[in-house]
Amino acid sequence: MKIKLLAFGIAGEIVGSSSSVVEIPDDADIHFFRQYLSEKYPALAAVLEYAIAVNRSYVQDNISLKENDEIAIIPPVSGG
Amino acid sequence: MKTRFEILESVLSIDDANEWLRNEQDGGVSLFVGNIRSVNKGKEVVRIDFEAYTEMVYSELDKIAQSLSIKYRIHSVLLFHRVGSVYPGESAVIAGVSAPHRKDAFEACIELMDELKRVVPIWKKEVYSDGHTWISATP
Repeated sequence: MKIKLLAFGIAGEIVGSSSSVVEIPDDADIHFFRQYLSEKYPALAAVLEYAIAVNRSYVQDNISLKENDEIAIIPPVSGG
Repeated sequence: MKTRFEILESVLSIDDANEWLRNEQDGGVSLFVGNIRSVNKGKEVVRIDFEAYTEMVYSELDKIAQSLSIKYRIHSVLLFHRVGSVYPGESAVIAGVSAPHRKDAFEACIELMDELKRVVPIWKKEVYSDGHTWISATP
C-alpha cells in the first residue's frame, strides 16, 4: 500500500524531501515503519527518540497503518 | 472558551493579541512574548528558521486549550507563532490567556508555553555565520 511520508526539521534534511509517497506492506504497523526508516536512513538514529504522527495525531508503535495514511516523522520539537 | 491560533510569516502584533483577549468578563490578560536572542550558548545567531507542521499545530493547540480550560478558570486562549526566518530582536511567539482572576491567567499562560515547547510540532534551526543547528534535534 502507499502512504504519504512527511519529514520535518532535521528529519527532512536526512530523508531529503519534506513530503514523499512510500510503498510499504499492507500489514505494516508503526513498529515496522520505524525499522524501515532506520534501514533506509541510518542517520535518523542520531535524532533521539523521534515521534511518529499518523493523520496529525501522535501514535504508539503498535498502531497499524492503512492506505493513504499521512505519516509524519516528528523530531524533538523546539517551538517558542 | 474561545481560541485563536495563527502560524504567521509576518511580524506578530502584541496589540492585536491584547485586543482580541480583552473582554468584560475577565479581570486579567496574561501575555508572554518570546523573542530571538542574538547570542545562544556563546554563539552569535544570525537568524532562526522556524518550520511547522501547520495542520497538526492547530490540532495540538486545540487539545492543550481544552486541557487548560478544565484545569483553570479561563475564557480565551491565543497563540501566534512565526514560521520562516526570524531575526534577533524580533518576536517568534505570543501566548496569551484571559481569565477572571490573575492567578489562572498567569498559570495557564505558563502551561500553554510549556506544552507548546513539549508537544506542538514546530522546529527551530539556528543559523550562524558558519553553519546551522536544529535545536533539540541531536544529543
